[in-house]
Amino acid sequence: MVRKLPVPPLIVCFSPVHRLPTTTTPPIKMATLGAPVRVSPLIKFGRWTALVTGILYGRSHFNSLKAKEAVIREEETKKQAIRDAQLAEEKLKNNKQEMIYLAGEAGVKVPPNF
Amino acid sequence: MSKLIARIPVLAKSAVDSATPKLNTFMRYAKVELVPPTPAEVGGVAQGFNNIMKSAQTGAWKNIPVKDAWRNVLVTTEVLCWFFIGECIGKGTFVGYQV
Repeated sequence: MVRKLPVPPLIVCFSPVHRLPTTTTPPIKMATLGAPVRVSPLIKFGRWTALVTGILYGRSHFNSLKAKEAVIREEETKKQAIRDAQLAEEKLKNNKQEMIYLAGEAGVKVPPNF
Repeated sequence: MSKLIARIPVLAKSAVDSATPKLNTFMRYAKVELVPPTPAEVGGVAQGFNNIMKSAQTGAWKNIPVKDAWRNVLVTTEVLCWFFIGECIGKGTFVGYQV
């Protein structure tokens, strides 16, 4: 069986108010949800205690980790300062030695106060 | 730009209008299924717990159908998963602790 589309008359086509349906779609079947389930009190109690316990545990664990990380970060900044000073010193020393060596290779006399 | 701003209340109203029936359906189910247990239901909690203990002691848990056992497993897993949802809420992020 071939469904024929209803051809609207020209007046209806161009009038701004009247609209005829151009296609027919079958009604969509949605699953019926049914009555709300009466959940057992034990399950409800379990769910809510698990949720509240989780929130409390998450917060306390986060705070403890944050405290530990603050201590570690402070130590790291101190060590970093010392390490930076050491590296700068070594770099300076190496630079000086390199320049002396290059002067020897290039045949340039090293000034006395270098 | 002013036309866009003028359209915002219209859009908001239409969004609210379209969402209200769905919200009503949700509230209808949430009021029965998602509420915390009332003080009157504390007896039910103890009773349910005793049922589980009794069935564990007498060995009746071996005689329930597989379908019921599987349902119990799923419900237990769901209850335990609420702990992790709570942990995510407590620590503020989904993945990891942003220390």
